Parts: sequence; structure tokens; C-alpha cells
Amino acid sequence: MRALKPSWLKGVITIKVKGHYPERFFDLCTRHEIKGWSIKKISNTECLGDINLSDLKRVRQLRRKTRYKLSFVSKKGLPFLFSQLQKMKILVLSFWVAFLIFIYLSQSIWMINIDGIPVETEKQLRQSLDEYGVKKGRLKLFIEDSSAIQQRLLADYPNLLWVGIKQDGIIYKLDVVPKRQVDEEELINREHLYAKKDGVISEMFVAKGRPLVEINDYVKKGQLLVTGELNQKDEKDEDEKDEKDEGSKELSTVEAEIYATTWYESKLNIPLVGQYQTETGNQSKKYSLQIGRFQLPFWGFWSNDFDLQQVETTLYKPSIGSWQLPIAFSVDQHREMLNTEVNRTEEEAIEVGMVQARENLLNELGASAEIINEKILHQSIENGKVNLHVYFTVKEDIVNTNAMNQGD
Amino acid sequence: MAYLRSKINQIMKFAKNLPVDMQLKLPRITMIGDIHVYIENHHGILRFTSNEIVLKVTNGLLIVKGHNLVIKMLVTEEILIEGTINAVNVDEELRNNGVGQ
Repeated sequence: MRALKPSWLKGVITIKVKGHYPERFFDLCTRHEIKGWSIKKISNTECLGDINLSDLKRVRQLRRKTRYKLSFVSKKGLPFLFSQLQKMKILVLSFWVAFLIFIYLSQSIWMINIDGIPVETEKQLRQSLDEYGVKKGRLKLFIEDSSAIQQRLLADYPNLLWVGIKQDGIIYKLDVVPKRQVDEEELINREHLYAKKDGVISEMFVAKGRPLVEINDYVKKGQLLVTGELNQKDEKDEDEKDEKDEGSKELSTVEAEIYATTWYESKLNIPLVGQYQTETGNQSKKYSLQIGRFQLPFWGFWSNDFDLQQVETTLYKPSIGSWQLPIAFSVDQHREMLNTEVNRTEEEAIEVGMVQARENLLNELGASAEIINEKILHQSIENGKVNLHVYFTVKEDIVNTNAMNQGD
Repeated sequence: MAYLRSKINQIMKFAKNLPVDMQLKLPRITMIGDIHVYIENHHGILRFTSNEIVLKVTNGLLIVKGHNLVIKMLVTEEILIEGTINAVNVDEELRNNGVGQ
């Protein structure tokens, strides 16, 4: 069976044929491979029938050879719809504009809510958000990732502990948790200072309190260094009595920095062949539209994948209200990577290892620590690796700052 | 071209698996209840009113009678007739010369 209906997409014209035996005109048409549908006889001399718009020209040519009269009753289909739409250009245009406005209105930010901080900081925060590009009326597509903005905010405002960003439709919500400044209170409450580690004391600054040790004393972990009990020695008692709390029996607050020399040992393994992955700087972006599970690439898909690459995908999912559109826009950034191998000599390997060891140690001890001396106790090469045994002498603050670990 | 066609037709005639209508160019008539008639291998419409359709077929005529007849589809050598069909007549001429061979 052939097509039972004329093609709506190509356009359908209903024609009326007038003349004697009008059905024979349709018969003539079929002889010239013009198809006809829904042919009805209205009267003895009139016949209605559908033909495709594409056949119209040939039908007219055929009619010229006959004595039939042809008239068009109705037109249906996509081509006519188009021509009709062209007549209503303004209407169509306004529909488009309305649609675009609707998309713009629903896809941009219209409210910025900031919770959890006082008004003045909030104003500042709004201003910096403005600088980052988070403004009222800005499309969400052009706003940076919320985690990036979060990091920038935290970097710019050191007094903020945490910033949570949530995009809820047209509302940009910020939950801010400021840092509570309780450090001073903690300091005030301290009445004794203990040693955190074993070491030899090299420097002492006692602002408040009575020191129990001296420079070049060897102290053990947990040993009492400075005490708030002032009245054991009478002459010091008078000076600091004013600062003392009346209720706490003869215990005053203590403030001191005590530096001591401490020792660390570390064992290192450094391979003689180092492997790195570096970026070559070549990169390509691929844009695609995700409809459900189906991914439709529409830009950048022609560029080849690199042999070794890192792919970073950012997804943009538009939503209207709480309704998540099934369409997502994704950008894949492909960065070319390169495996590089570095052959080191023994000295170079040791150097690399020492730098690493120093960094590790200082990371562990904090910024105030300082490496005074380092010594390689033992070194050997085994299976393409250099084994090192290093001994560090470090100057660091050994006052126990953590109240929970204070051993009484 | 004509030679080739006749040659092909010959081969087709000997192809025993093909249906009779293909071999002899006879009309194939398919009816669905009394609402549809589907005719293949016709050679054109002679008359068409809402009560009667007369079709040319190989060596004769085919007459479809009924009410409110409408040609749902008209393609070269194929026709689909819709309506209330009362009778499908095959003209005498056809019977003598068509199938009898």
C-alpha cells in the first residue's frame, strides 16, 4: 500500500474540477504520476480532490491541454502555515521577543539573600558580589560557578568561616557563618603553660606569669614552664596583683612565648627516575546539548581528542521554578597532558628529597618553626631509589596551645 | 529497452513462486468488509459517481457499486475506494479472455 494520506509537510491543496466526467481529469493525473486523495463527486460535472502542493505546477500544465476548469478550495500544510506566518510577522516577532524575555526573566538572578551576618558586612558582601558579577538581572549562565565565588569570598573576607551558596530559581542565597572570635577568652583562662615537646629552651618571652625554667634548660613533654601562681616569690607578687582575678585563688593569667630546640628524624625514599604529568597548553572546548541521556554535540566536536588529556566538564542545567528542564548545556574542556620523565643523579635526588622533607616538616610544625640545622645520617641506593635518613634541628614554640592536651 | 522488458516479463512468467496477478497483470482486489475496496493493477477510471465506479482492467471492466463512494487514494495502477460497497462486478469480457487462457 502506498501513502494513504497526502503529506501535510509538503502541503495539500484541495482542487475542484469542473467539466464533463471530471473524474477523468484525476485519471489523467495518475497517468502522469500525480497522486490524488479523497476524491469525491459533488455533482455530475464537479469533482473534489486533494493533491500535493509540489504537483500543482504539473496539474496546471495538464489542465491547459483539457477543457476542464480548475479552482482551489482549500490549502493545508506546513508551506501555507509558513506563508501565513510571514503575513503575521509582527505577531510572530512579538512571540519570539516574549519568549526571549521569559527565558531571560526566568534564567537570571533577581534576588540576592544574605543570611547570618550583620547589616554592614552584608553591604560590603553585596558590593563584592557585584564585582564578581553576581548582580540583579544577570543571567545565571554568565555567573561563575558557586564554588568559585565561595572561594573568592572566603579569600577576600578572612573573618568569614564558611559561605554556602545556593541558587534557587531567581534567588541567589548566601548562608554566611562568620568566625567567632573567642581566642582572647581562651588566652585569658590559661593559668599554666606546659611544654608540648622535649627540647632545649633557646628563647623565652614571658609577658605574664612566673617562669619555672631558664634558657638552656632541657624540658620534657608535659613539663610546667610558666605558672600563674605568683605569690611564691614575694617581690613579683605586688606588681601583677592588679591584673589578677579576685575569685581565682592567687592564679593569674599567663602569657608567654617559649622557643626551644627540638629534634626530628625522617626517613625518605626518592626514586632516581621521576615521573611528572605536565600540561602542554593545548586545549579544546567541546560544547554539547544534553537532552535526557542523549548528548548532542553542536560546537567544537570536530577537534580531535588528545592522546593524553584531562577533561573538565561543566554542566549548566536550566530550570523554571522548581522544574528542572530535561535539557542541559555542557562544556567539556580537554587539556592535553604530557608524561615527562626526569632522570636524576644521586645528588639531585637528595636535593629533591631534602626540599620535600623540609616542606613536610614545616607544614606539620606551623609557620613559627624554623630549621636550624639538618644532617644526613645515612644514605644508600637501592632498586633505583635513594634512601635517606635525615636529622633536623628545629627551633619552635613549644608552649602547648591546645587546652585539651594540657597534662595536669 | 522494450526487448529487455519483454525478456524480463518472460522470466517473470516462468517464475512459479510469483502470484498470479503479477504474472498475468490481472487486477488484485482486496476488500475490507464492505467499507474498503483496494484494487491494484487497474488501467484507469472510466466513470465515477457516488454510487458507482467503473475501472478499466486488463481485457475488461471492473464495476464497484455502493453508496457514498469516495476515492480515498488514487495512484498509478492503485486505487482505494471507501464507502458502503454493495457489489463488485467483473465484466464478461474479462472472464472469457483473462483467466481462461
